[in-house]
Amino acid sequence: MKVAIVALSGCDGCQYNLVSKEFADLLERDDISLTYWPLAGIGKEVDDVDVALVEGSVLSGRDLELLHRVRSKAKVLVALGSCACLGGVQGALGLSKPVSSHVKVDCYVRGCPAQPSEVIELIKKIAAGLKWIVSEKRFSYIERGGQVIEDELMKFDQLKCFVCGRCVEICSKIGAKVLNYVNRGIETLVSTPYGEPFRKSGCVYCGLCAAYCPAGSITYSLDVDKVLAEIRRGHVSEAYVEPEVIASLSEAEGLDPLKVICGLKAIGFERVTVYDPLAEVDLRTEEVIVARSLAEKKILQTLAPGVKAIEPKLNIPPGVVYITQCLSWKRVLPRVLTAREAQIALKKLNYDTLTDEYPDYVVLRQREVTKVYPPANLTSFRNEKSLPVFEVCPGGCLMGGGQPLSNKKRFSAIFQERVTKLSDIRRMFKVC
Amino acid sequence: MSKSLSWEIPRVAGESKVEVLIYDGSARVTYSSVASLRGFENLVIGRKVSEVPAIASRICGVCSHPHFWAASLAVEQIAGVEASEDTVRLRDVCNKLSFIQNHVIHLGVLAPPDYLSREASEQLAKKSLEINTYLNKVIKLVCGRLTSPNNYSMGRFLSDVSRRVFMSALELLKSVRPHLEGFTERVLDIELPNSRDPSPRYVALSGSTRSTVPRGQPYSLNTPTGRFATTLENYRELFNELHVEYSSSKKCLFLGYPFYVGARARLLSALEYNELDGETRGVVASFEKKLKENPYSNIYAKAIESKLMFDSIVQDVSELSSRDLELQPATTRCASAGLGVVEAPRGLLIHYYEVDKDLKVVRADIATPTVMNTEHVELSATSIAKELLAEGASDSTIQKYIEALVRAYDPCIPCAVHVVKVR
Repeated sequence: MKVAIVALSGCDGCQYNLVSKEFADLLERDDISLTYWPLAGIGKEVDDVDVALVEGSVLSGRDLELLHRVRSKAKVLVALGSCACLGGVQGALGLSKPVSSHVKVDCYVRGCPAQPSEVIELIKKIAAGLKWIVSEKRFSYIERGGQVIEDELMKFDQLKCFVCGRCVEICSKIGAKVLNYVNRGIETLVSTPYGEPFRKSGCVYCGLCAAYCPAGSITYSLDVDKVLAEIRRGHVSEAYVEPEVIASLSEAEGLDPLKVICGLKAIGFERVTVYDPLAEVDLRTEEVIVARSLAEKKILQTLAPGVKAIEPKLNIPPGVVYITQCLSWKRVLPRVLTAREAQIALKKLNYDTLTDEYPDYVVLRQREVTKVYPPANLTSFRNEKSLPVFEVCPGGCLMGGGQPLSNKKRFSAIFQERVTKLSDIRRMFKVC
Repeated sequence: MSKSLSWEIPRVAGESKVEVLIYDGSARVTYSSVASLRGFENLVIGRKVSEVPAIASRICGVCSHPHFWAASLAVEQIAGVEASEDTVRLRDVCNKLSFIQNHVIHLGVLAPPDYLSREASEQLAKKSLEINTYLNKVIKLVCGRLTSPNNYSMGRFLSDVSRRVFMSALELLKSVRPHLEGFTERVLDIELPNSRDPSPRYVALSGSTRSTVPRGQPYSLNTPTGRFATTLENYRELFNELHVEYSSSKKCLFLGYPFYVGARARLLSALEYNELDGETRGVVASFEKKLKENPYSNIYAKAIESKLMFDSIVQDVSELSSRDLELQPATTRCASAGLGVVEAPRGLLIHYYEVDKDLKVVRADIATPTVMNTEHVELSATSIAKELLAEGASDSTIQKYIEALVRAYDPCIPCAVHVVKVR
């Protein structure tokens, strides 16, 4: 196999790095011969070669002429180093363009300077007739694969994803372990197992991945317009709202909790009930832990299979919209809005016109609650008075997957304010 | 009757061309780079001054280490940072390692075919590659990378160069020693053509055989006519740069005269200014006549210098490995401009930067050894061409001798062509 090393405009660093014993040993092989390398005084003109390593970028007509000549003579043209692959430092001035913008490049060895070991491996591979794997795909985003994984509730557009890994982290942290990385190197993607829809891959629909995604590639279907249309048609007139939702909406929109209730009425709900799903839980046996939602029950059963878990039985009459922080209720109840959807609806209002309004009914729990996470702590938290409740989301239901977007950046600041608002609400409504 | 010979020179870094104009028994040689301009001085304009050393080290893949140090010295002057004593010594070790690597490639791969038979050249090349295998490992160990090193930073080293690193480096250097001694002896046995140097003016940093990266301003320069202190204010008066039409690189004169820099200049200046120890002085003194008179003798100078620097590296590394290092830089007064002068394998290297109030570069000036040597190369080559013409030599002989002479200076065209202004 004949090899040529050609230098266009550049610093010659990649060539100098090749002056090594390893490269000399490679050239000792019978099947490889170096026919052109001006730096070592080998050859006068580029002749027909199997592999041409081209260093540097095209700065002048002379470079361009040489490059075209090399392309016509070489079976495989390798762009060697950053200058050839990307235009290099002189390319930053707008003086030069990468080799690939002038001729077809078969293979890229990137780096400033290109690693000699990579070059040597590449030549060995080509000589052995194997397909080379060194390639520069990093800068061609369009080539990256991806599909849309969706079902009736969740949608994940892999083309929008830039593989930051926040969803993978949170999904594995809560124990659902649905989203994970697939493929290797530059082709790494985030995906459900085998790209199956969420409902087939064990998703609990906690909605945390959608809440944590900074690129908006994971979303859940929004029912705001549907519900508003139903209100207009008079099909629904009442809303059951979780106190956590009022607290988080109040924090996110900078409104007083009573103004949030006024806002909900302004949307079109005639009656608003503050409804805590734990209010109607009746615990008779000791070996039971309460899961706040379907999602949490499912995860609890995975994490601690021996523990008996119950979920609250929601007593929501037909024709009532349930406004919750947990996305998973959308799978069992006909009309559910998440707090984030409620935020979208509220944003259409003029906040100056809102006044303080009290809820029509308040259904709050009367027992103390002990939040239990992880389930290993279950026994240590149990006592007669308090209700053991399992909350899997980091920060609990106040920071759940369906909660609204906040203007604040720090997780702890958002959490603290929501905790304060929630205790305000409990105090306020117990009085009324 | 007049005729001209023109050809490109292989086996040098970058593309360059020699043109010999022969007329009425006399001759005139011009040496020019044909590589396109790369405009590094324009590239750094508008950049934050702290980014400059990393960009500057990309000027040349062959001597990226000294470019980094020269830019660092200038930038440190601007930022008001002063490197510690140990950092300066460590820098010197890194720079000297790159010197030996450069010299060994030049003496083993590029130059020998001019003077030796094919078999002898190949033997020398093999030896040089063996030495380089070890040297590359040492450089990677201490500097992070062979070209465009990534362990350097303004005022300090990025990762701790620990005792363990020094011990491993010493082990590797031990393995290099026998190879290097044999190699330099073989190079010193080469018989060089005779020629007379038409302009025996050299310029080298004072004490460059001991330390190639100085502490900072003022930079003292040794010349045959005395010592000159170079500072921000007067360096332009000392070094005059000229544009020439036939080349894409500039030329440089020292106080209006052609001069040479590099290994030969460093050794001669050390000899003249008593900067050498007893034994080394004896070795250099035995070559003094050849070094002074014959421009080809840069080959010898490189071989002697490699050996000299190797000993100094081993000494420094063993000393540095025996104690904890103080690498924390000190702070001094900031300035709006900075000058860095260091010795590169091919000779003196000057970097100058000027910044605005946001510490962004508004002006840059880089003078490289190849640019400084160009006028001297032309003078020496012209003199040789005239001698050969007088002897009635053929065109091919003239070509051969001039090509060998140019190569003996070890020009580096990527360094030289960064300087032309983009219009």
